[in-house]
Amino acid sequence: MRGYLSDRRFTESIMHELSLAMNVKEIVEEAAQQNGATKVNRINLAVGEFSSVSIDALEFAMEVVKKDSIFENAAIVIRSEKTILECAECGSNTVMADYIFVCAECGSGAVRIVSGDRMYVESIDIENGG
Amino acid sequence: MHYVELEKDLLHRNDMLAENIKKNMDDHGIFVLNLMSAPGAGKTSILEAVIPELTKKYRVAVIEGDMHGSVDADRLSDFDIKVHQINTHSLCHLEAAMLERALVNFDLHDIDCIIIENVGNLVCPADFFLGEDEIMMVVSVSEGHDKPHKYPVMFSKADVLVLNKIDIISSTNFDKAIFTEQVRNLNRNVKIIEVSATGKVNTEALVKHIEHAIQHKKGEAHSHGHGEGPGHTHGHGHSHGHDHRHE
Repeated sequence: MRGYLSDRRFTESIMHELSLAMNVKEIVEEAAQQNGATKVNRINLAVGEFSSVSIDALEFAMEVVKKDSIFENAAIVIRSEKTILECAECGSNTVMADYIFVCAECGSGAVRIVSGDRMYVESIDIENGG
Repeated sequence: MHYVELEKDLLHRNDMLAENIKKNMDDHGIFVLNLMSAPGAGKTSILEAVIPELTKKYRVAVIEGDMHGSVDADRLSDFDIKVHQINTHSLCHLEAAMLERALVNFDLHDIDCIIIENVGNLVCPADFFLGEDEIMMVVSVSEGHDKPHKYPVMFSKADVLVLNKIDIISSTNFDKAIFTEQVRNLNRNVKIIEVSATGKVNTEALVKHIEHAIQHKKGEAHSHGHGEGPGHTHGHGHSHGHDHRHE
Protein backbone atom coordinates (compact mmCIF):
# COMPACT_ATOMS: atom_id res chain seq x y z
CA MET A 1 0.00 0.00 0.00
CA ARG A 2 0.94 3.68 -0.26
CA GLY A 3 3.42 3.32 -3.07
CA TYR A 4 4.14 7.03 -3.02
CA LEU A 5 5.93 6.81 0.29
CA SER A 6 9.26 5.14 0.39
CA ASP A 7 9.44 2.47 3.07
CA ARG A 8 11.72 4.46 5.27
CA ARG A 9 9.59 7.56 5.17
CA PHE A 10 6.52 5.51 5.94
CA THR A 11 8.11 3.74 8.88
CA GLU A 12 9.22 7.05 10.32
CA SER A 13 5.83 8.65 9.98
CA ILE A 14 3.84 5.67 11.12
CA MET A 15 5.71 5.60 14.43
CA HIS A 16 4.30 9.00 15.21
CA GLU A 17 0.74 7.98 14.45
CA LEU A 18 1.24 4.68 16.23
CA SER A 19 2.01 6.49 19.46
CA LEU A 20 -1.15 8.55 18.94
CA ALA A 21 -3.18 5.43 18.19
CA MET A 22 -2.00 4.01 21.51
CA ASN A 23 -3.45 7.12 23.15
CA VAL A 24 -6.75 6.53 21.33
CA LYS A 25 -6.72 2.98 22.60
CA GLU A 26 -6.21 4.13 26.17
CA ILE A 27 -8.99 6.73 25.97
CA VAL A 28 -11.45 4.31 24.34
CA GLU A 29 -10.71 1.46 26.72
CA GLU A 30 -11.16 3.71 29.73
CA ALA A 31 -14.45 5.11 28.41
CA ALA A 32 -15.69 1.63 27.47
CA GLN A 33 -14.99 0.40 30.97
CA GLN A 34 -16.64 3.39 32.63
CA ASN A 35 -19.74 2.87 30.51
CA GLY A 36 -19.91 -0.87 30.99
CA ALA A 37 -19.38 -1.59 27.30
CA THR A 38 -19.02 -5.14 26.05
CA LYS A 39 -18.09 -3.98 22.61
CA VAL A 40 -17.21 -0.77 20.77
CA ASN A 41 -18.80 -0.48 17.34
CA ARG A 42 -17.50 2.82 16.18
CA ILE A 43 -14.83 5.36 17.09
CA ASN A 44 -15.15 8.92 15.84
CA LEU A 45 -11.86 10.79 15.71
CA ALA A 46 -11.18 14.37 14.71
CA VAL A 47 -7.81 15.49 13.43
CA GLY A 48 -7.02 19.14 13.02
CA GLU A 49 -5.53 20.26 9.74
CA PHE A 50 -2.94 22.24 11.72
CA SER A 51 -1.53 19.22 13.54
CA SER A 52 1.33 17.05 12.42
CA VAL A 53 -0.82 14.02 11.78
CA SER A 54 -1.39 12.11 8.59
CA ILE A 55 -4.91 10.68 8.51
CA ASP A 56 -3.78 7.81 6.28
CA ALA A 57 -1.07 6.84 8.70
CA LEU A 58 -3.41 7.17 11.68
CA GLU A 59 -5.95 4.89 9.97
CA PHE A 60 -3.23 2.36 9.41
CA ALA A 61 -2.00 2.66 13.00
CA MET A 62 -5.54 2.21 14.33
CA GLU A 63 -5.77 -1.08 12.43
CA VAL A 64 -2.63 -2.17 14.24
CA VAL A 65 -3.79 -1.28 17.76
CA LYS A 66 -7.32 -2.68 17.23
CA LYS A 67 -6.13 -6.26 17.49
CA ASP A 68 -7.45 -8.13 20.55
CA SER A 69 -9.03 -4.96 21.92
CA ILE A 70 -12.61 -4.18 22.84
CA PHE A 71 -12.81 -2.23 19.56
CA GLU A 72 -11.38 -5.00 17.40
CA ASN A 73 -14.32 -4.79 14.98
CA ALA A 74 -15.15 -1.12 15.35
CA ALA A 75 -15.44 1.24 12.43
CA ILE A 76 -12.77 3.93 12.72
CA VAL A 77 -14.03 7.22 11.34
CA ILE A 78 -11.55 10.07 11.11
CA ARG A 79 -12.82 13.55 10.40
CA SER A 80 -10.45 16.26 9.27
CA GLU A 81 -11.05 19.54 11.03
CA LYS A 82 -10.38 22.91 9.43
CA THR A 83 -8.21 25.42 11.21
CA ILE A 84 -10.26 28.26 12.71
CA LEU A 85 -8.68 31.61 13.45
CA GLU A 86 -10.07 34.14 15.89
CA CYS A 87 -9.34 37.76 15.11
CA ALA A 88 -8.46 40.14 17.93
CA GLU A 89 -9.35 43.16 15.80
CA CYS A 90 -12.76 42.38 14.32
CA GLY A 91 -13.72 39.42 16.49
CA SER A 92 -14.54 37.10 13.58
CA ASN A 93 -13.82 33.42 13.52
CA THR A 94 -12.72 32.44 10.03
CA VAL A 95 -11.27 29.38 8.32
CA MET A 96 -7.54 29.59 7.80
CA ALA A 97 -6.56 29.49 4.14
CA ASP A 98 -3.24 28.27 2.87
CA TYR A 99 -1.65 28.17 6.34
CA ILE A 100 -1.50 31.93 6.52
CA PHE A 101 -2.27 33.65 9.80
CA VAL A 102 -4.58 36.34 8.47
CA CYS A 103 -8.23 37.06 9.28
CA ALA A 104 -10.33 36.20 6.22
CA GLU A 105 -12.81 38.90 7.25
CA CYS A 106 -10.68 42.02 7.84
CA GLY A 107 -7.19 40.99 6.79
CA SER A 108 -5.64 41.57 10.21
CA GLY A 109 -2.72 39.44 11.28
CA ALA A 110 -3.80 39.61 14.93
CA VAL A 111 -5.24 36.14 14.91
CA ARG A 112 -4.86 33.00 16.94
CA ILE A 113 -5.89 29.44 16.33
CA VAL A 114 -9.01 28.47 18.26
CA SER A 115 -9.48 25.03 16.74
CA GLY A 116 -7.95 22.74 14.18
CA ASP A 117 -4.56 22.27 15.80
CA ARG A 118 -5.50 19.30 17.96
CA MET A 119 -6.65 15.73 17.57
CA TYR A 120 -9.22 14.07 19.77
CA VAL A 121 -11.64 11.23 20.24
CA GLU A 122 -15.02 12.83 19.63
CA SER A 123 -17.27 9.94 20.58
CA ILE A 124 -17.73 6.20 20.53
CA ASP A 125 -20.69 3.91 19.89
CA ILE A 126 -20.84 1.05 22.36
CA GLU A 127 -22.91 -1.98 23.26
CA ASN A 128 -23.66 -2.72 26.90
CA GLY A 129 -24.22 -6.45 26.75
CA GLY A 130 -27.86 -7.12 27.71
CA MET B 1 -26.13 0.36 21.33
CA HIS B 2 -25.40 3.81 22.55
CA TYR B 3 -23.39 6.82 21.81
CA VAL B 4 -20.85 8.17 24.28
CA GLU B 5 -19.56 11.65 23.75
CA LEU B 6 -15.92 12.00 24.81
CA GLU B 7 -14.15 15.02 23.26
CA LYS B 8 -10.89 13.66 24.67
CA ASP B 9 -7.67 15.13 23.39
CA LEU B 10 -5.12 12.54 22.27
CA LEU B 11 -2.37 14.64 23.76
CA HIS B 12 -4.17 15.23 27.01
CA ARG B 13 -1.83 13.05 29.01
CA ASN B 14 1.27 14.61 27.44
CA ASP B 15 -0.04 18.11 28.09
CA MET B 16 -0.83 17.29 31.70
CA LEU B 17 2.65 15.92 32.30
CA ALA B 18 4.14 18.93 30.53
CA GLU B 19 2.13 21.33 32.68
CA ASN B 20 3.48 19.56 35.76
CA ILE B 21 7.02 19.90 34.46
CA LYS B 22 6.40 23.57 33.72
CA LYS B 23 5.13 24.16 37.24
CA ASN B 24 8.10 22.35 38.74
CA MET B 25 10.51 24.42 36.62
CA ASP B 26 8.68 27.63 37.55
CA ASP B 27 8.99 26.76 41.23
CA HIS B 28 12.73 26.30 40.78
CA GLY B 29 13.08 29.41 38.61
CA ILE B 30 14.61 27.36 35.81
CA PHE B 31 14.37 28.67 32.28
CA VAL B 32 13.58 25.85 29.84
CA LEU B 33 14.39 26.16 26.17
CA ASN B 34 13.12 23.65 23.62
CA LEU B 35 15.43 23.65 20.62
CA MET B 36 13.94 22.28 17.41
CA SER B 37 15.05 22.01 13.81
CA ALA B 38 15.54 19.69 10.89
CA PRO B 39 18.49 17.30 11.15
CA GLY B 40 21.69 19.13 10.33
CA ALA B 41 20.47 22.70 10.84
CA GLY B 42 23.06 23.16 13.55
CA LYS B 43 21.37 22.73 16.93
CA THR B 44 24.40 21.11 18.54
CA SER B 45 26.81 23.59 16.95
CA ILE B 46 24.70 26.38 18.37
CA LEU B 47 24.96 24.81 21.80
CA GLU B 48 28.71 24.54 21.37
CA ALA B 49 28.82 28.25 20.57
CA VAL B 50 26.62 29.56 23.37
CA ILE B 51 27.31 27.22 26.28
CA PRO B 52 30.88 28.43 27.03
CA GLU B 53 29.46 31.95 27.35
CA LEU B 54 26.36 30.99 29.33
CA THR B 55 28.34 28.94 31.83
CA LYS B 56 30.38 32.00 32.79
CA LYS B 57 27.31 33.23 34.65
CA TYR B 58 24.79 30.43 34.84
CA ARG B 59 24.42 26.74 35.62
CA VAL B 60 23.26 24.98 32.49
CA ALA B 61 21.93 21.49 31.85
CA VAL B 62 21.25 19.97 28.45
CA ILE B 63 18.91 17.15 27.51
CA GLU B 64 19.79 15.61 24.19
CA GLY B 65 17.07 13.84 22.22
CA ASP B 66 18.16 11.58 19.40
CA MET B 67 16.81 8.43 17.88
CA HIS B 68 20.07 6.66 18.44
CA GLY B 69 23.44 7.07 20.09
CA SER B 70 25.13 9.73 22.19
CA VAL B 71 27.17 11.61 19.61
CA ASP B 72 25.62 14.94 20.59
CA ALA B 73 26.00 14.36 24.33
CA ASP B 74 29.63 13.38 23.71
CA ARG B 75 30.21 16.61 21.79
CA LEU B 76 29.06 18.57 24.83
CA SER B 77 30.88 16.48 27.43
CA ASP B 78 33.86 18.83 27.70
CA PHE B 79 31.76 21.73 28.89
CA ASP B 80 31.06 22.46 32.51
CA ILE B 81 27.43 21.38 32.27
CA LYS B 82 25.22 18.41 33.03
CA VAL B 83 24.13 16.46 29.98
CA HIS B 84 21.59 13.71 29.72
CA GLN B 85 20.99 11.78 26.52
CA ILE B 86 17.54 10.42 25.67
CA ASN B 87 17.29 7.87 22.89
CA THR B 88 13.84 7.74 21.35
CA HIS B 89 14.70 4.67 19.24
CA SER B 90 12.22 4.85 16.42
CA LEU B 91 10.10 7.70 17.76
CA CYS B 92 10.33 10.97 15.88
CA HIS B 93 9.96 13.44 18.77
CA LEU B 94 10.40 13.89 22.51
CA GLU B 95 7.37 13.55 24.76
CA ALA B 96 6.81 14.99 28.23
CA ALA B 97 7.03 11.53 29.82
CA MET B 98 10.58 11.10 28.47
CA LEU B 99 11.54 14.48 29.80
CA GLU B 100 10.11 13.70 33.19
CA ARG B 101 12.28 10.59 33.38
CA ALA B 102 15.35 12.53 32.21
CA LEU B 103 14.89 15.27 34.81
CA VAL B 104 15.40 12.77 37.61
CA ASN B 105 19.09 12.84 36.69
CA PHE B 106 19.46 16.50 37.63
CA ASP B 107 19.53 18.37 40.91
CA LEU B 108 17.05 21.11 40.10
CA HIS B 109 18.34 23.32 42.91
CA ASP B 110 21.63 23.49 41.06
CA ILE B 111 20.40 24.60 37.63
CA ASP B 112 19.43 27.94 36.10
CA CYS B 113 18.68 26.83 32.58
CA ILE B 114 17.74 23.60 30.85
CA ILE B 115 18.13 23.35 27.12
CA ILE B 116 16.30 20.49 25.43
CA GLU B 117 17.74 19.56 22.07
CA ASN B 118 14.75 17.90 20.43
CA VAL B 119 14.95 15.18 17.79
CA GLY B 120 15.93 16.68 14.44
CA ASN B 121 12.60 16.81 12.65
CA LEU B 122 10.48 19.68 11.33
CA VAL B 123 7.18 17.89 11.78
CA CYS B 124 6.26 15.96 14.92
CA PRO B 125 8.10 17.72 17.76
CA ALA B 126 5.89 20.76 17.21
CA ASP B 127 2.84 18.94 18.56
CA PHE B 128 4.36 17.95 21.87
CA PHE B 129 4.54 20.53 24.64
CA LEU B 130 7.38 19.65 27.02
CA GLY B 131 6.84 22.32 29.64
CA GLU B 132 9.29 24.73 28.02
CA ASP B 133 9.25 28.51 28.39
CA GLU B 134 10.38 29.05 24.85
CA ILE B 135 10.65 27.23 21.56
CA MET B 136 13.78 28.14 19.67
CA MET B 137 13.71 26.91 16.10
CA VAL B 138 16.88 26.69 14.05
CA VAL B 139 16.84 26.92 10.26
CA SER B 140 19.96 26.98 8.16
CA VAL B 141 20.30 28.81 4.88
CA SER B 142 21.34 25.61 3.12
CA GLU B 143 17.87 24.17 3.75
CA GLY B 144 16.30 26.70 1.40
CA HIS B 145 13.97 29.65 1.93
CA ASP B 146 10.76 27.74 1.31
CA LYS B 147 10.74 25.75 4.55
CA PRO B 148 8.16 27.91 6.37
CA HIS B 149 5.70 27.25 3.58
CA LYS B 150 6.35 23.53 3.73
CA TYR B 151 6.37 23.11 7.52
CA PRO B 152 3.94 25.72 8.80
CA VAL B 153 3.12 24.23 12.18
CA MET B 154 6.58 24.40 13.70
CA PHE B 155 7.27 27.85 12.27
CA SER B 156 4.02 29.10 13.76
CA LYS B 157 4.95 27.87 17.22
CA ALA B 158 8.51 29.17 17.43
CA ASP B 159 9.18 31.98 19.88
CA VAL B 160 12.63 32.61 18.44
CA LEU B 161 13.90 31.70 15.01
CA VAL B 162 17.63 31.29 14.53
CA LEU B 163 18.78 31.55 10.93
CA ASN B 164 22.03 29.63 11.00
CA LYS B 165 24.99 29.27 8.59
CA ILE B 166 24.49 32.89 7.54
CA ASP B 167 28.18 33.06 6.58
CA ILE B 168 27.64 30.75 3.61
CA ILE B 169 24.47 32.39 2.32
CA SER B 170 26.19 33.65 -0.83
CA SER B 171 27.00 30.06 -1.82
CA THR B 172 23.30 29.16 -1.70
CA ASN B 173 20.16 30.33 -3.46
CA PHE B 174 18.54 31.27 -0.14
CA ASP B 175 16.32 34.34 -0.58
CA LYS B 176 16.00 36.16 2.74
CA ALA B 177 13.09 38.33 1.63
CA ILE B 178 10.96 35.35 0.61
CA PHE B 179 11.91 33.49 3.76
CA THR B 180 11.01 36.42 5.99
CA GLU B 181 7.68 36.96 4.27
CA GLN B 182 6.76 33.30 4.65
CA VAL B 183 7.77 33.38 8.31
CA ARG B 184 5.72 36.52 8.99
CA ASN B 185 2.65 34.91 7.40
CA LEU B 186 2.87 32.21 10.03
CA ASN B 187 4.28 34.02 12.99
CA ARG B 188 4.32 37.76 12.81
CA ASN B 189 6.01 38.39 16.14
CA VAL B 190 8.77 35.80 16.12
CA LYS B 191 12.22 37.19 16.78
CA ILE B 192 14.67 36.25 14.03
CA ILE B 193 18.36 36.07 14.90
CA GLU B 194 20.88 35.51 12.10
CA VAL B 195 24.00 33.66 13.16
CA SER B 196 26.74 31.34 12.11
CA ALA B 197 27.38 28.96 14.96
CA THR B 198 30.61 27.56 13.59
CA GLY B 199 31.76 30.86 12.05
CA LYS B 200 31.01 32.67 15.36
CA VAL B 201 28.90 35.29 13.60
CA ASN B 202 26.46 37.12 15.88
CA THR B 203 26.31 34.26 18.36
CA GLU B 204 26.61 36.87 21.13
CA ALA B 205 23.07 37.99 20.23
CA LEU B 206 21.86 34.47 20.96
CA VAL B 207 23.75 34.37 24.22
CA LYS B 208 22.24 37.70 25.21
CA HIS B 209 18.76 36.49 24.36
CA ILE B 210 19.10 33.36 26.49
CA GLU B 211 20.75 35.25 29.37
CA HIS B 212 17.92 37.73 29.37
CA ALA B 213 15.36 34.93 29.47
CA ILE B 214 17.17 33.22 32.35
CA GLN B 215 17.29 36.50 34.29
CA HIS B 216 13.65 37.11 33.61
CA LYS B 217 12.66 33.67 34.79
CA LYS B 218 14.67 34.04 37.97
CA GLY B 219 13.11 37.41 38.69
CA GLU B 220 9.72 35.90 38.24
CA ALA B 221 10.45 33.04 40.61
CA HIS B 222 11.51 35.53 43.27
CA SER B 223 8.76 38.05 42.93
CA HIS B 224 5.90 35.68 42.51
CA GLY B 225 2.71 36.83 42.43
CA HIS B 226 1.29 35.13 39.40
CA GLY B 227 0.59 38.61 38.12
CA GLU B 228 2.69 38.36 35.07
CA GLY B 229 2.33 41.38 32.86
CA PRO B 230 1.51 41.18 29.19
CA GLY B 231 4.06 41.22 26.44
CA HIS B 232 6.51 38.69 27.85
CA THR B 233 8.39 36.71 25.33
CA HIS B 234 7.94 33.35 26.97
CA GLY B 235 4.74 31.64 27.99
CA HIS B 236 2.96 30.04 25.13
CA GLY B 237 0.50 32.64 24.16
CA HIS B 238 -0.27 30.72 21.04
CA SER B 239 -1.24 27.36 19.86
CA HIS B 240 -0.14 24.91 22.47
CA GLY B 241 -3.76 24.34 23.15
CA HIS B 242 -3.50 25.22 26.78
CA ASP B 243 -7.15 26.01 26.78
CA HIS B 244 -7.80 22.25 26.66
CA ARG B 245 -11.15 22.48 25.08
CA HIS B 246 -11.24 18.83 24.19
CA GLU B 247 -10.46 17.19 27.46
